[in-house]
Amino acid sequence: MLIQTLVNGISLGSAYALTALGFAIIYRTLGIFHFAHGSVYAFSAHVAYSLITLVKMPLIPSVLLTMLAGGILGMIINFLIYEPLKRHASSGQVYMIASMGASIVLQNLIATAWGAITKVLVLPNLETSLYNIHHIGSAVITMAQLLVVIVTVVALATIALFSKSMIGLSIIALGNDSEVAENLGMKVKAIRYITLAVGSALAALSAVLVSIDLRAVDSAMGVPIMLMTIIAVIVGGTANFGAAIAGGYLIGLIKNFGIWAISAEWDNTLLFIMLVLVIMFKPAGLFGRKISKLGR
Amino acid sequence: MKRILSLALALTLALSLFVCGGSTATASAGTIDPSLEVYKIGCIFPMTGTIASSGEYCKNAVELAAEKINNSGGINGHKVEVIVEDSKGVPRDGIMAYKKLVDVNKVIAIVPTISSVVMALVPEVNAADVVMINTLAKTNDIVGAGPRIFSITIPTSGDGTYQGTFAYEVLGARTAAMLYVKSDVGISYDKFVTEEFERLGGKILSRDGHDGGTTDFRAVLTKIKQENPDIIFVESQYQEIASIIKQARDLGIDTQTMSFSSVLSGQFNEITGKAGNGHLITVSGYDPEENLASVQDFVKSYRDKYGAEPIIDSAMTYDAVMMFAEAIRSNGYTADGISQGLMDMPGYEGATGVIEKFNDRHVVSRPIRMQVHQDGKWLYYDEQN
Repeated sequence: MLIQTLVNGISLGSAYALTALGFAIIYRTLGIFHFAHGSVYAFSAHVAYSLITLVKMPLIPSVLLTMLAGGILGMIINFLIYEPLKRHASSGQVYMIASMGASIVLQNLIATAWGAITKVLVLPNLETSLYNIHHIGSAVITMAQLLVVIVTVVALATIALFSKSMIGLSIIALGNDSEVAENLGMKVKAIRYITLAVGSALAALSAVLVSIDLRAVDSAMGVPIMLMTIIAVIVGGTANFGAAIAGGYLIGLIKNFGIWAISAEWDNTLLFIMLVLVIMFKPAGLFGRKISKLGR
Repeated sequence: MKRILSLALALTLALSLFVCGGSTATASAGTIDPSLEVYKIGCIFPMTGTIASSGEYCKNAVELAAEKINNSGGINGHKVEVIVEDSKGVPRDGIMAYKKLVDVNKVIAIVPTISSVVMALVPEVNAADVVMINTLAKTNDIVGAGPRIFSITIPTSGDGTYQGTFAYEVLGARTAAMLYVKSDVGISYDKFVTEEFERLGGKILSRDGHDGGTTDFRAVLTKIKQENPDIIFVESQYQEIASIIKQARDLGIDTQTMSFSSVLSGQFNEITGKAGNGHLITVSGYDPEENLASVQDFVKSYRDKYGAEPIIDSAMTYDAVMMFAEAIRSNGYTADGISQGLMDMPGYEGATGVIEKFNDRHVVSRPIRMQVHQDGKWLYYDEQN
């Protein structure tokens, strides 16, 4: 029971960690409260559905293409919304409202393009192996769940390596002080596009993994994940990327243990109580100042 | 800067309105007289938001109904137009949609869905010259809610009680776990199933509500696995039920599961596969396998037009439009006329099977079936009249 809850929590937390890291990269680097992140997630899930179920493309190219599509959508959002606002030195609130608007428009465009009906992501060739059940002690885990955990760890390790690269360091520098970064001759505009692309690609990766695991894809699926992402980032902390990842895993575990200890009716309430407590007593987030290996 | 920002915001809003806005549908007329007044039927469905999928099924169905009516000459030569407005599944937006339909489009017959929206519309309908057919709101509060409010679905007290009885007396279950969606319908099922099961002597070990649109139920199922009940009641929306059953079987839970008819969608089998075998549901009304010409005609028309399988939401809303048309045909296009027409209707054979005459509280009675899922089919198991 305890192990099963732990397994479930880590699997769910992995998905949250990916979206939270994507959100944190965008938020910390550009200072944008990127509400459209959830819609990028939903869009990516639909792309994955089209590639895997309709086009019947193999899994790995589907995942990579979905990440590419998510990244491109992130750049389009930057081009259409954030860059014009940047040129006019708009305030953070304006960015946030514009991002909310973009999120609503995107959600409706997804419903228009793919239909609002819940779609089932079916893996024609891999179904048997991906949905096989494995035992960890008394707990069970499906291969698809395991895939979420493993791919997330690989992705997080890749991002950690990426953060040491020139582009990664540029992203961190831009987040630390955009004016200094610009004065040092960095191509800040290009870095802004790359930031949106990387952050969105992480949301896309989370979307495709979760969709394979849970099979259901619908146009409104970005809303709950966005809520959890925001809670994860605020609870974890925004001072560095590692804190957001830790926040994601924490939310996944609390959600699962909360349901076990109290009731499924109270899982979101529990998270919001924690959110309020963190904002009141640890406004920098639980891991805001402790975890600093990734990012600042 | 302000001008550009204003323009950007205006464009965003315009785009939102364009995408979210209402839509109308009419079909080409057979022997329709274009000089005659167009009879309008207003539909209030969740076209966006978390339960938008239901709205799309309903919109398809009512447009199909209008097309059928118009293709056979409309109603006494009058063209029928269905106007679909978006409730987003939220009562406040449902009322806004209603006001637009009644005040702007001058609609006098409405077909809303979603229990909370339907119940929010009850005082509005009672204060106006409008007739409402409730298709899917199973909450018991709808019974006898107003002089012009009709219900073609049986309330949760009917099949909810049947579920409790069946689980205890036929299946011999003595302990149960309850999972339900936190909507009027889910809460109502939780109440009636639990009451009946406990009245007979059964014990409900846990009751867990979840939000609509939830896809990951592993946490709560892990808890239920430990409780080891004799039966799990799953009073959720169709895609949620399928996810629950699949994830329960993955976790090694072999317990008998039971739910209501919301699961009647082709996707149940796609999500659950063999894991869905043995799942029991109570059905009153739509059965796509029913050997009745009106049912098969609807299923075929829907499939031909949209290339997809209709669900119970489609069949119910389709029948509501058809019954309105029948009532208008016999008693005229006025609120009183339609209301009387519905009351006088001896019965109706439609997409949801045989609908009996409305009783004095404006509700129809229907037999309740227990059906079991087996390899993609919903087989007959038991029936309560």
